[in-house]
Amino acid sequence: MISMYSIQLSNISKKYNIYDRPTDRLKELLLRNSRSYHREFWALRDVSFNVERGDSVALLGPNGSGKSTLLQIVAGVLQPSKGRIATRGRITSILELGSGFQPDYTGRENVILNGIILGIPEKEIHRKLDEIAEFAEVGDFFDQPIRTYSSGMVVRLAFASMINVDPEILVVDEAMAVGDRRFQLKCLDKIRELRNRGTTLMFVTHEPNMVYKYCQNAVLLNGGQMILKGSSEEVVPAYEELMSEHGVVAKKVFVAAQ
Amino acid sequence: MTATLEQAPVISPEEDLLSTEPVKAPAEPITSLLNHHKRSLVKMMVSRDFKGRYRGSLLGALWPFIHPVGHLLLYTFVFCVVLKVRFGADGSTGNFALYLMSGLLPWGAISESIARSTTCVLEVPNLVKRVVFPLEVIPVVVTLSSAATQIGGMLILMACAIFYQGGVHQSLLFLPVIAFSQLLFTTGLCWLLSSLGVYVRDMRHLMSLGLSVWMYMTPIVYPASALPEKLKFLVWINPVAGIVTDYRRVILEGNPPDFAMYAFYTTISILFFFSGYYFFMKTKRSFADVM
Repeated sequence: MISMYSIQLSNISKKYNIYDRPTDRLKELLLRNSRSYHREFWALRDVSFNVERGDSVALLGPNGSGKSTLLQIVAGVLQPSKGRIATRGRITSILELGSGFQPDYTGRENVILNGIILGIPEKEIHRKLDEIAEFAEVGDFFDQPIRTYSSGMVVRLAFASMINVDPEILVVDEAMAVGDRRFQLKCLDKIRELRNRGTTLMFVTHEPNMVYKYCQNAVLLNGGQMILKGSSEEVVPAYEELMSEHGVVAKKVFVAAQ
Repeated sequence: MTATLEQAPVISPEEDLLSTEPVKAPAEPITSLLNHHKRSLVKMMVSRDFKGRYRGSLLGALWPFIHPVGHLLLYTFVFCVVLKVRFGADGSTGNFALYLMSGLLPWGAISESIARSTTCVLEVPNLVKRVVFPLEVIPVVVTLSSAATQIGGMLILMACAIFYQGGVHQSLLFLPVIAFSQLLFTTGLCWLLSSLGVYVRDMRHLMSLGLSVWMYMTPIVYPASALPEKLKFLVWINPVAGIVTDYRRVILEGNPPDFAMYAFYTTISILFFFSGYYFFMKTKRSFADVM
């Protein structure tokens, strides 16, 4: 039976052990049952929700609420400390601004490497190369090392290479804020097209309008915990309230400090 | 489309959902290095690494050949002309150069891999932190890329051997057997050192000193027979010494490898290969947290 869920999260928690020195970590890894060398920090606690195939979900929350950590777990880059996760289908992700590019590789080499990493057959990658170069609008730079690119070009190429390989799940961190307005619109068009074709979408944003426009559902995180999930119409107002509350608190602290 | 997200996830019917222990990713056996995915990665990255090394340089593809020849001339001058070290049967300078080269080439590949291994994971933070990447292929790429340079040098060595000795020996057929052992040893050591290099940043400084010591402990610029009786054990505990000696036997002397020694250093190589892999796989989980 094909599951109706693309992403399932069950009691996902992520703990970071804070070490004073990297060698302490190695000691602890190798010498089991000895004294502990760390302090604990929980970036996520007991987050559970399901995402249906073809659904699009926005992650909302203030800075440090665990949104990026959650996306990294969904993308498979981080392992949860507790809880279970299941994802179904080819998953591509645009995390932070860097993505998995190698600075010394040319744009073309990076796109090929990226494709191999995703497990796309090499023939298919080579067929898509031109399409990706064109979408990214990097022109002759496609055969130059990435380190010579402007930050806008890197993000465009990252987007192009992730979007044009027919992902079944697309995970996007705040990267959308980069690139000029026209390129953003082009990406959004492409994302809409993917969504219409049934791609499951999960992204982090701070823009309530984006949520209304692109997502049926949203999840609100605060301090590593999920405080609300539901339709965008329910969650966005709660998010805005939370943010204004934060604003008030921040203002009070500022005044007190003076 | 439902308006709300479901409350209770159903991961799969047979799984115990009350357990909150994370599902451990299945352990990847060492044979997974041969699967299609990792092989394509290795192939792509080795050829890229090899090309990238000389890209933009004026002499380009000539460098892998200029390098060993330059070293050869230097060492021949210092050790043969000045210090009068004697090698092989006739003790001529030409013969010394051949012996030296057959030691320098494998040592060059091994030491280059080891030197690079301490930083090879640190150099690809994007692959560690931003994508799902089988990091264990990176030390393999480092090893194979250096080995490719060695192959180039070995071809020159053969040409010189034909020139000086008037032909090659049948024992050359043993060459791949020795090279195989060398690859196992180097790859294993690279796994070990690349992982240690992530946690212990002193590794790279330690290695630059360690490699010099190691080189002079290995009979490269002198014959193994020149070692005093008390220090003969060095040839046994140092796999590179065995490898170098056997290369000389099969390429220059027309003898098969010293089988007792071959068995010994190959056993060490195999041990390094498997324990290096195990160590790397065990420690790679927290690379992303450290970097």
